[in-house]
Amino acid sequence: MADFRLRLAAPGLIALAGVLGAAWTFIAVHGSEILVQRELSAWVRAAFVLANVAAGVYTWWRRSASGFGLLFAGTGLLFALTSLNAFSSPLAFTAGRVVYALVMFALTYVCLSFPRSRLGTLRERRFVALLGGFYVVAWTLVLALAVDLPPGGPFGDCGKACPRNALRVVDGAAGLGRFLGDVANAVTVASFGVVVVLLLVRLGQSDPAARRTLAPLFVALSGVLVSLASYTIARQVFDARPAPVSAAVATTVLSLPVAILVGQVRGHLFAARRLGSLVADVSGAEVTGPEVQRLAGEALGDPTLTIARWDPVASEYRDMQDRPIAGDASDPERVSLELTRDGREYGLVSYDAAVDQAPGVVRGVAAAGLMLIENARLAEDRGRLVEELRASRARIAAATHEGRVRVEHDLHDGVQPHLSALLVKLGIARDMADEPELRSLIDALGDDATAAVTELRTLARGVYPPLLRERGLAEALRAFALTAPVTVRITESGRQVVSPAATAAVYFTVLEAIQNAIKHGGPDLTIDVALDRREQRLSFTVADSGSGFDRNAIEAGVGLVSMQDRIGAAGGELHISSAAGRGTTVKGWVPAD
Amino acid sequence: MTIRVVVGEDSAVVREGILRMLERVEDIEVVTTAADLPTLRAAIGDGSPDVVLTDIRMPPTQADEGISVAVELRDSAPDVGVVVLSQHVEPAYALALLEGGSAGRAYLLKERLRNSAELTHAIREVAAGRSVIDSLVVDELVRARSARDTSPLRDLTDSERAILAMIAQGLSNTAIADELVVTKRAVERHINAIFLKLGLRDAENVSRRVKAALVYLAGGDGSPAG
Repeated sequence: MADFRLRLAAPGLIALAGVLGAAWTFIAVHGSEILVQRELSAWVRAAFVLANVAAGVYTWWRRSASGFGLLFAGTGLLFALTSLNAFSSPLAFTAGRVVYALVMFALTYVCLSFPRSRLGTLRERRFVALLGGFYVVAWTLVLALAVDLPPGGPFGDCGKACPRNALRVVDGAAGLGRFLGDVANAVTVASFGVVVVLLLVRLGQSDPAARRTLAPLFVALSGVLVSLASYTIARQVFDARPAPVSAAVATTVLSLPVAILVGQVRGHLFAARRLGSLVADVSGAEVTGPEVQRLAGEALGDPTLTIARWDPVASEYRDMQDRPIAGDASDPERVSLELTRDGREYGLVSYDAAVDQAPGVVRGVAAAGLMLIENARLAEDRGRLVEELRASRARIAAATHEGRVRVEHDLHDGVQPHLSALLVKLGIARDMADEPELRSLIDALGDDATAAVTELRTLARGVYPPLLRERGLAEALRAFALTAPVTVRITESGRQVVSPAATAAVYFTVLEAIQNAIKHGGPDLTIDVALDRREQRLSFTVADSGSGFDRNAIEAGVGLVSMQDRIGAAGGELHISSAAGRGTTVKGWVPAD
Repeated sequence: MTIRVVVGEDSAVVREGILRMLERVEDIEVVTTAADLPTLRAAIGDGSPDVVLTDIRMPPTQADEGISVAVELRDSAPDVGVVVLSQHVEPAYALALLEGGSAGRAYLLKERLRNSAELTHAIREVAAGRSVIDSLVVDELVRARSARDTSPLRDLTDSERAILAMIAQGLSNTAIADELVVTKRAVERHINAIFLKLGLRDAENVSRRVKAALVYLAGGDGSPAG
């Protein structure tokens, strides 16, 4: 909050100064004894001061990183100072006239440096240096030699009542001084022409964002050039002061601060639109860090824009190529903004200080970009996790099945032959035994061995039924159905082949479903089992006509959960629907793999 | 008349045991033994046996080689009988064995090895072109079928049910009569009644009716349960 007030203080002071300057301008010009067109001039000049300071202060307020706002506001305040040329005192008048020339120079500088506070190209710098040098030389001479100072624009026109040059040091060269003054005025006009040309060149080389910002200024300045040139020619060549031309100068000059504001608004709108299309563009394409950064830079008109994200694991910022970045907040040509969420930093965006965008807009674009990248990363992570989970389940299912197969094999082929051998030897022993007592003992031994065989058979069947392995799911289910106390119908259709592990999962699940139905279904029960093999799946339905149960009332017992797990581990799905009085349906499928 | 037998069994101990057991039987001669399917086929080709006594499971697949041999022999050597020794009590296997017809086929559970009389009985029956189905297999079927309220077996009397079971086991009318201590004529009458009630045919042909009874009991007659 304190920061906010501090941020408010300086621009506020300048704004206040601007208001005061405008007021003073109005009073001074309105009450001038020497100026022609006092009323109009007072309004126009006061308006110019106010407009420039307002535009400057607004720009400073919205983009404190760029110095342009202050520069432009300064131009306005400087122009307030030219009101000195409203006074009849030669010294005041001379000072005011010199400040006016300074303002003209300042305006060329401002127009060339917009939206920054500095000149961009060598060509521009050379031009401004040259111009400045010329002005220094020319005006030194003019001040030294001239008796009458050159005219100071349509609203500083003192007609025949102009005070003399207060700083003249050399006599007798009034003509030369006068001539130099006219030249200086001509050069001023020409300099605006050069600025217009330079702006045109810059427009041609700019990206769309910068173009939108510059274009209004270009138009306004072109207008200023034309009107000012017309006025200068009329005044100095024909000694005329045509009112339409003065009006044109007033309008075009006042349009400068307006053009500055409009340009900025257009730039912001452009960035906002580009932000929207950034999200749309990236949503379709593959989201990579460098791509998002490029698009964000395009949206804001700064190809040097960089986005970095905070890596909590490594505790440092990483750029879009996942390299750690050095914290170089010292570079005055660049602005670094932090992105924070809930008070925690999560990103950093760095861009050219000259970019004419409000920090809020830049943050918005960068935040959107980071969000897109994060989303893509999360989706990728989730995809990987899901795949890992699926693979892990498949491994568990396969291992479980292998376990079954092995146990059944060991039971049957490992243990069974020993029992068979035992039985056949008992048979031989029985034949050799003559005594009845011995025979009955051997019979008793035979009973024990047979009991073991039966146990073994039941155990092996429970682990992995031979029919399932050798004759398929339907046969195995039919064999089970034979021994069921209720009618169980088995139907099958289709041809899709499914892995033994998945088939076993279905077998045991259907078995359990049938057993549940028998246990809870009540009397007069019929059970229908339908197996369907198509579309890369083995689907099964176990429907009973029993009394059903309320799924909500009964918590999933161990039976229901393990059915779900078994089918899930095989990569399929299971659904159980039941309603009291309407029977239960267990439906599911496993994929062919 | 000696019955020539080829034995198929991959476990050496059991094979030895069967040999020793059959050694003591006068009218049965073991011609040769085999421990896997290809060898068994070759042995049958070379030895021209009357009966093949084989385990249901053998190399190479350890699944139902015994049944494959039985089915093959239907075409290649229809006079050869097959006794399959199995550890599976599922009727599905017995029915698979009777696929091409029940004449000269026997399905015995391994438990029968403890009693040479049962084994030799089966060998002699299939040599004569009849069938034997292990009673355990049949009993389970009968029990299961009778348990259902809607089962037509409920229409049979207890003794009729018992007779049906014996038919499925392959017993001849004489054997049934001995078992129940009734006259052979009485048995014939019962059997006709049973078959009429159940809608079955071939009441007189002992081997064919085995399959009919078994199929009926296993539910292959169109009525519910498979």
